[in-house]
Order: sequence, then structure tokens, then C-alpha cells
Amino acid sequence: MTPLKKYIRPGVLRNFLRKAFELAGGDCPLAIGYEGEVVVVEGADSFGGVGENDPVVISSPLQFDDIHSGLVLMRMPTDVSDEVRASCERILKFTSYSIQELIDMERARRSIAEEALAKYRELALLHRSVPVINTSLRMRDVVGALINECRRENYPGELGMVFLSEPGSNQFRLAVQFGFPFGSNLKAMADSDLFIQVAEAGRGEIVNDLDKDSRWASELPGLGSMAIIPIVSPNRCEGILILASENKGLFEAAHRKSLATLASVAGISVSNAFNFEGVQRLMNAILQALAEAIDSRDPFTAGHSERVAHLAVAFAYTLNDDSAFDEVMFSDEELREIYYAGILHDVGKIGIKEDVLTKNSRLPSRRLDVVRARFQLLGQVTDFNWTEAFDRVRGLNKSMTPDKDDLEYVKNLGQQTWPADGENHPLLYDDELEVLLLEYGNLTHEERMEIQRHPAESERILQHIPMQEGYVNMLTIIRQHHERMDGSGYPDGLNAVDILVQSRLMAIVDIYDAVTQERHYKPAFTRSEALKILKKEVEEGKLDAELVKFFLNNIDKIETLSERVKSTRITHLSEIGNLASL
Amino acid sequence: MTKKILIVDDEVHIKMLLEQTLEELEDEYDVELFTASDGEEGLEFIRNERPDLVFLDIMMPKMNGYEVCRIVMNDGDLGDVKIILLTAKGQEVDRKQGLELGAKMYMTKPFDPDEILKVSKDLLEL
Repeated sequence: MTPLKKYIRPGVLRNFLRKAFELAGGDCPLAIGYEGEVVVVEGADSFGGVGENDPVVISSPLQFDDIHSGLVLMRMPTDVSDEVRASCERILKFTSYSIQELIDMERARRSIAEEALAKYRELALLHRSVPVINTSLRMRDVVGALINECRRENYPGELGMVFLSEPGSNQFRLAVQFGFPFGSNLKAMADSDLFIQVAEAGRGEIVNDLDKDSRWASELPGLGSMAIIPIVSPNRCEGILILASENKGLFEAAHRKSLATLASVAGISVSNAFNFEGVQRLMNAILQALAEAIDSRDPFTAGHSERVAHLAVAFAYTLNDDSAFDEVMFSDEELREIYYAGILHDVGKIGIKEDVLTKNSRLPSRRLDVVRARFQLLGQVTDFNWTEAFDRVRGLNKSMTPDKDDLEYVKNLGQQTWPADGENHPLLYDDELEVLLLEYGNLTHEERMEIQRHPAESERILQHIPMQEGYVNMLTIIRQHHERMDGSGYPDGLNAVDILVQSRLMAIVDIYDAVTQERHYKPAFTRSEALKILKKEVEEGKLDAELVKFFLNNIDKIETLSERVKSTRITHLSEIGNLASL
Repeated sequence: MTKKILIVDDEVHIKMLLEQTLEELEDEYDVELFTASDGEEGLEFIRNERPDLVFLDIMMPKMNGYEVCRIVMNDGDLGDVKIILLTAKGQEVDRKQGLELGAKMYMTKPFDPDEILKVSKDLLEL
């Protein structure tokens, strides 16, 4: 039975009865009967029974609501005169009329208060949940916050899930769930007519007996009731929030309303997260296209930038995991920064002269043809053995590390001249000799300087791209990727202390990839040959010894992880080591 | 023993909503609710009835909430009375002043019903 005070405060009734008692002359106690019991008395210590047949007790009915009724009672003196009785009856009538009015007004006041309180609650829910749900642009954080709010607010339902629909798709995939046993086939939920209808109509529903709903074919067996709420943004249905229970009859309209409020807050955040991911994907694609354009100027470097990016991220990630490098801990953002630095490190090559960039011999073949003609000419006018001499030059022309003999031989050739119209012309011109007599490689000093412009050039080109996240070190890593520990690197000749760890590991994977891939001047080396080369660089003091050692020891893991980076979203780089994310 | 909660506010609708909120405690626990419409009435009730918890509005006629709070907190006999200041003001200085006077909490309107319930339960150790 609802207690009386739910309808009207007993204190108020008491005041009323006291006034009526005084009005009636002070010898007629009054009382309130509620559901057959006397609950409030004024004018006497006790009233006695409700006693309908007692001739000196008069009463007037009260109605508290459709079910609960009561009486206002008045006990008159036993020897009451007709006049007094009439007066008492008038007072009683007036009192009960007033009390009834009060009860009715109190009922109205209460329902208004309840309504207002419900609104207050909804408002408070918004105040609480907006900042919680709106704190991140990461989809995982957003749906995590939503589901946590649902659990925190003590909604009914021991089971919950959030489905999301990627922009441009009408498929829904499960993003997060709680309460379901491992291995449940929750995807089936999205195939139910109920789910489809809610997604299409964009209006949430509560279903308190799923067995009786024709749109539900027990896609998830054992569910009894469900609240299924669309997560809508101004544009579309971004996802579906579901709270469910094995029991029936748990959900109320108020739950649907406040869940819809939560879901609408989440809708905006989900939409933002999708947009953010989309922008990142777009950014990523554009930067990748840029890198590919650079790499494809030279068929031998195709895919290099991307591989370096993948390897560098895998390397950094592996360092995070290792206790030996406790002081090195890259955040998600730093991993992305390393990724972008890897993708973009060679962009500056776009500003490097193409003939230098793709140079694969000391003299270009056309120039060599001219040299050949010159040798031939001299052979015709003298006994110069031009074929042997030209073969030696041609051999030297392709050589990376020529023999001393060959260099000496060509140097001597440079002394010779050939006559024409009484003038002597050198058999090999100074610029030809300069490049032919190089002790290593095929680039002259000027050409080397040209190539070495590329890290700073990358930095110059990229400095105006506003990256979404700060990436404060990205340009530095790019600029430093050819710096060496002993100060022999370029463009700034920095010493070890000034070279970022990221730049050091970038240098290592840059060399590793260049060595293990075919180049115009060399075949692809095997992994073990590549590792030897890295060791040699360490011995010469050029690369970070600790990092190279770590790289060598973990090369299998790093290679495997770098394959995973390829298939991982840029926003989820920190998950490459997590098998579940694949 | 029945715990007594007193609501002191001159604004009828706030008093009503607070009452409505706190009635949920009445349903569940041994708690009784009382109301007063200004500072003087509130103080009188506090002195006579020693409520366990008082929701005290600050801007009120006759005697404002700070004043009531100060008097109660300086009265050794009333040491067990816990006061929550409830106000439409939300300046940091107001909050500080309230807490310095010895109020347990300083809550701003519009209040959050669930927070009111939670705080009440905590302070009444229900």
C-alpha cells in the first residue's frame, strides 16, 4: 500500500484538522482515516476506531487516487444538540472539501515535479556524458566511452554492444560488446529484421519480449528483451547501440529516451571520429602517392619509401617492447610520426637532377660513344691499340671499386693526345678523367653535393604541409636521415648527440632496404650480406651501435611486423603487435 | 535511528524538486524530509531538531545561507550537522567561502538529481 505521505504530508493534514478543531469550538476531535485506519488525530490523544455506526462520529470521504480512499472523521460530544450537529457537519464538509482540493493539487504538483525531475536527470546525463564521450577522435575511445556510460548509468541489461557503419557503406560491424561469452556469433544481430528496421528508421525501440516480436528470429539465442538505439549524426545512422538481457520486461520508455540522448551525443563523436580517420586515410594516401611518384622516377627505388616507413615503425615498435631500451618509449603519435617521416624522407629527390639521381655509370653511354670514336680515330692515325684501351675504359666506367691498375692505366691514357689540323687534343678531357678516376662509386664531388641536397630539400618541400597532429620531429627526422654518428653525414654533419633516435633508426632501415633491394649499380644483397654491411658501418662509427645490434637481433620480428604495418590503419599502428587486431 | 534531512530554500520550485529527488531516499531508507523557506526558519529547525544533513540555499531573505552555516558551525552543540550549500552562484570565491565556513560541499544549480542522491547517501552513510 502506498503510504499516505506519498499523497500529502501528514503535517499539512494535522494543521488543517487543528484549525477545524478550533473552529468547531474545541470539543470535537478530528481524524483522517486512510484505507480503514485512523492515521492522523487532532484534538484528542486517540480517536478510537473508524466506527461507521457510531452515532456521534460523522465522516466525509476523501479520494487519494483511483485506488486509495479515506475519510475525514469528526467525533461530536455525546449529548449533541441538533444545532451543534448541523454546525459540525458544515465544518466537516468544508474541511474535507479543502483537504480534497489540496490532495488533488498535490497530485498535480507531484506529476509536474516528476516530469521536471526527469528532465533534470536527462540534462544532468548530458552534462556528464558529453565531456566524457567527446574527449577523443579515436573511434575506439568514443565507443568505449559510450558503452561505459551505459553501464555506469545502471540501465537494465547485462549484455551490450555497439555496431558501427563506415561512411559509404550500409554494412554494420561489431565495434565493442560486453557480457557475451567469448566466441558468440554476434554478427547475426545485424541480420535481424529488428536491427535493420531500427537502422533504416533511425528511431530507437525497446522490446520487452523478443519472442513475441515478428522481426526477431532469435538471431542471438536466449535473449529476452532489448533496447536498440540508433547512433545518429546529422547525416546518417553511424551505428547502433544495444542493451539486452536474457530476462524479459526490463526496459521502460524512460530508458529508451535517455539512451537516445546518450546515443545522439555519441553520434556526433562517432561521425567526427569517422571523419578524422577519413582525413587521415586521405592524407596518408596523398603522401603515399607523393612518395611513390618520387620513387618511380627510378625503377630501382620503387616502393623504397613505403618499405622504409614500415620497417622504421616496426623497429620503433619493437624497441618499445624491449626492456633493454627502457628510456625509449614511442607514443602512438610518435609511431605515426616515424611512419610519415619514412614515407616522406626522400621526397626532396624531386628537386635533384635526374641524370645524377639515376646515374649508373661514371660516364653516360653517349659520352662513352664519343670517347670510343676518339680512340678509334687515334688508332687509325697511329698504332694505338684502341680496342684494348677502350675495353679498359669501359670496364672502369661501370666499376664501383676499381683496381689500382685500371686507374693507373686510364690515368696514363689521359696524358695522350690526338692530332687534328696541326693541333693536339687530349684523348680524355679533364671532366672525363675526373669521373673515370674516382676511387669509389660513380659520382663526382659536384654530383655528390647535388644528391646530398635531398634531405634538406625534403624538409623544405614538406614544411608547409599542415599535418593534423603536431609531429614536431617529423621534419627533423627527415632532415637527419643521412646524418652519421661520427659527424660524417649530411646535410649538417651532426654528431651523435644531436641526432634523434628516430633519425638513427631511420638511417639503419634506409641502408638495410637499399642494400637488400636491387640497384642499377648492384644486385640485391641477401639479408645476411646486408647485416654484414650494417655491422661494418658500425665499426666505422657511422651507425648507432646499440640500435644496429638490436636490429640484427630482432630482424625476424621486425620484418614480420613491418608486413603487418602494411595492412594496419595508420591510426592503429600501436596495435601491430596485437594478434587480435588482425 | 531515523535520519533527518532538511531542505532550506526560498525558491518554491527548487525546494519541490529537491524534495522530489530526496523522497527516493525516504522510500529506501529510514530517512525523513523536512523543509524550511528561509534562513531563520531553517536555523530554528536545525537548533530544535538537529537534522543529520541540511541542503542550504545561499541567497535567502532574512538570513542568508552563509550566515546560517557560520552560526551552525560555530555552535558546538550542532557539530554533527552536515551542510551542503546549494546555490545559483558558481564563482570560485563563493565556493571557497562556503567550504571555509565548514560546509561539506558546495553544489551549483541546476543540480544533478543523481549527484544529490549519491552525496546524501555518502554523507548519511546509508
